[in-house]
Amino acid sequence: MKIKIIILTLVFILAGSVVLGLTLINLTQQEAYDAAVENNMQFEIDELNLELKQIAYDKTLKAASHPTLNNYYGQLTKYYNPFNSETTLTVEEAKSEKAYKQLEIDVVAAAISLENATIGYDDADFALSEATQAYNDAVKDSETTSADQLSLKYNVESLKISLHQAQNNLDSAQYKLDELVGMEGAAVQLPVEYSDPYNISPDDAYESALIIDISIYQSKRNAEAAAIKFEIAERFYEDDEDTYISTLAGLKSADLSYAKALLTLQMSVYDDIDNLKNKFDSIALAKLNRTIKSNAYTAAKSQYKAGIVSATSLENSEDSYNTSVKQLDAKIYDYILSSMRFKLNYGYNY
Amino acid sequence: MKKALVIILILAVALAPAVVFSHDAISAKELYINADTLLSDYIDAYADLLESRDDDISKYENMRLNKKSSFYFAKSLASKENSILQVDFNIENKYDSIKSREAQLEIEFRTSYLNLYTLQKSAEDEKVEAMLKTKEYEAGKKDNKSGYMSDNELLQLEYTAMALNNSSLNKERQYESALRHFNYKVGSPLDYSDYQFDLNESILVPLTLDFYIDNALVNASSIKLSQQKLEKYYIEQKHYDVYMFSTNLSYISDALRDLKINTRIQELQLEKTKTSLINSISTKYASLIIEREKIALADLNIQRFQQEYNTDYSLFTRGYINFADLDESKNNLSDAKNDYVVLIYRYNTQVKSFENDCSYYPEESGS
Repeated sequence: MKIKIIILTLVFILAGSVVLGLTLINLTQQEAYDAAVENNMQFEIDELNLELKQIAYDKTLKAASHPTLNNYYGQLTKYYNPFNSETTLTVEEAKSEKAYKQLEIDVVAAAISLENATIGYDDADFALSEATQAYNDAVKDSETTSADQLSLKYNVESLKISLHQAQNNLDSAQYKLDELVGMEGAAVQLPVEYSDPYNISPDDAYESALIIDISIYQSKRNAEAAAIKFEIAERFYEDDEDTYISTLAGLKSADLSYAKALLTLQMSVYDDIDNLKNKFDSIALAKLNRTIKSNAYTAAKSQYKAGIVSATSLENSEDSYNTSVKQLDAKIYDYILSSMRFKLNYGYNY
Repeated sequence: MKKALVIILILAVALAPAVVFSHDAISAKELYINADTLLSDYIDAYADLLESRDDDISKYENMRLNKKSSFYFAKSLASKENSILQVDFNIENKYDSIKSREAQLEIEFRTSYLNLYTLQKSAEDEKVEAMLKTKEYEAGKKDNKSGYMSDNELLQLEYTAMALNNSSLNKERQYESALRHFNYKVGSPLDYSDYQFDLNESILVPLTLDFYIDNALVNASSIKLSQQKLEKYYIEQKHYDVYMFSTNLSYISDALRDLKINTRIQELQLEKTKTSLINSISTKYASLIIEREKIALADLNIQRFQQEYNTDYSLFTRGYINFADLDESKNNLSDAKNDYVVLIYRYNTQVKSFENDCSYYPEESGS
């Protein structure tokens, strides 16, 4: 039944209903997030998987509580297996918690994609209407050759395809957002505020990441588990020398992996801070560009009124200004998304 | 009956190269597909599964049932039924792998074939261009001797001719390298040096979006695997429902609970897979429509350059433009016609790739 609804929705969207005036459901970011949480099938799957992990953990605890043989494998059942199972459970819990926060970013990213697709559609629509006008004028103009007319017609047909492509992009972006929030024709308010990455303390961000990062926790626990295994093997060295050697190698390898994971995390934190700064700086540049284009447009308007510049020149000036506004918005949205990802990945707010 | 099918399959694989050498374009495709070791493994495994089907089923039919308790009896009954079912699932899945691999190889072949054609054409065009520039340089030498051209202008002509000759050689080598790779894939040292590529095809007409979605929802391997898993869970549950046993025993209640959780996970996964499949197919179908529109645009482009050529020809006959201008006009028309043919071939490949994504394999498929 649900599949039929999805097919109908897709057919409806493919028919171009959004552009033809489908009523949009305006949502705040919080409302969209709440709807997305409610609608997310993966969360139910994650919860059930978590339940299975909890069951597995309980089983290992139960097995550990029973009397075990005083040999290497018996001691593994008593100490090593519950420790490992606890790691798996905690990692699953942390991943599930992160998935909820990730959804917030997914909603904003989908809303931004929809905004970009809408702009792309408007631009394509405008270009087509201009080209159509030029073609119609040429048809009326007896001096235009048939070859030129055909060339203009070709341009119109080509732009029709561009508009069709833009329509597909728009439908696809709308579908993705609708699918996330579980409603048809959703529109989400876009974020406007953003913070300064120059306020980030790299050391504090790293400290925070050490606490929150799942892979670090996993590496640390793996190293501790390897130490437990090694201690057990050490006790039974006389019985099984080979196991002792292999667990020692395992311990060294796990320690090395943990040390590497720490360095990798530190590197990522520092690289991501640099990326945030680069993106933040590019916003300032885009703002300056918008001011320049705005001033030029204001001047062009006055000059046009005074008859100094042509209508085409005024139009070009207006286009440049509009492009600069779009570029600035794109930079801001890009930065906001990166900033949200940084906060989620490292648990550091600035 | 099954043995006969195995023999036919083996013969089909063994005789394939023999068919190849007698038909050029088609045979190259057949050879390309039949040289694939993965496909050959699939065919062997499929033949083995078919041959051992009856034995495998009778083995499971004679499986001893655990009569320790009604719970274990139900569990072993479920295990027996599921094992028998799995035998046919394995055969069906292997057959699907063969069809999918064949389709994938055909798409790969078409991509390589188009690439070879493009490289060959590019090399030929560059060769003609280099020849023209060399002639221009030769003529320039005479002009230079007669004092109509400066030394530096002649040097410039020499440079251009040399650069184009180098570029022509480079493109020819690129083409030869691509041929070597193609021959390697085909697994045969065929001489393709005089190969005439024929891309002419009629435009494939895709079926409706609903058809592809319905087909994929039944035949896509991701859906089938998920459904097979689910079917086995349902069978297990069916046997537990038939027999009465106390759920006070922890191992029984644990087993029932685990089955319930796994069934629900699988049901949700299946629903998710279906949604994502429908979304992906719809998006790709929309792209196909755009590509089809591009072919119509390329057709209009031919009309445009045809009209330009007609005008230029008329101007040329009246002496208003020279032969070089007319030649350029003719080249533009020829390029537009070539683009049209290439676009159709590329579009048809896209249709085939899309149909493979939908797990739809029409019986008739041209090269």
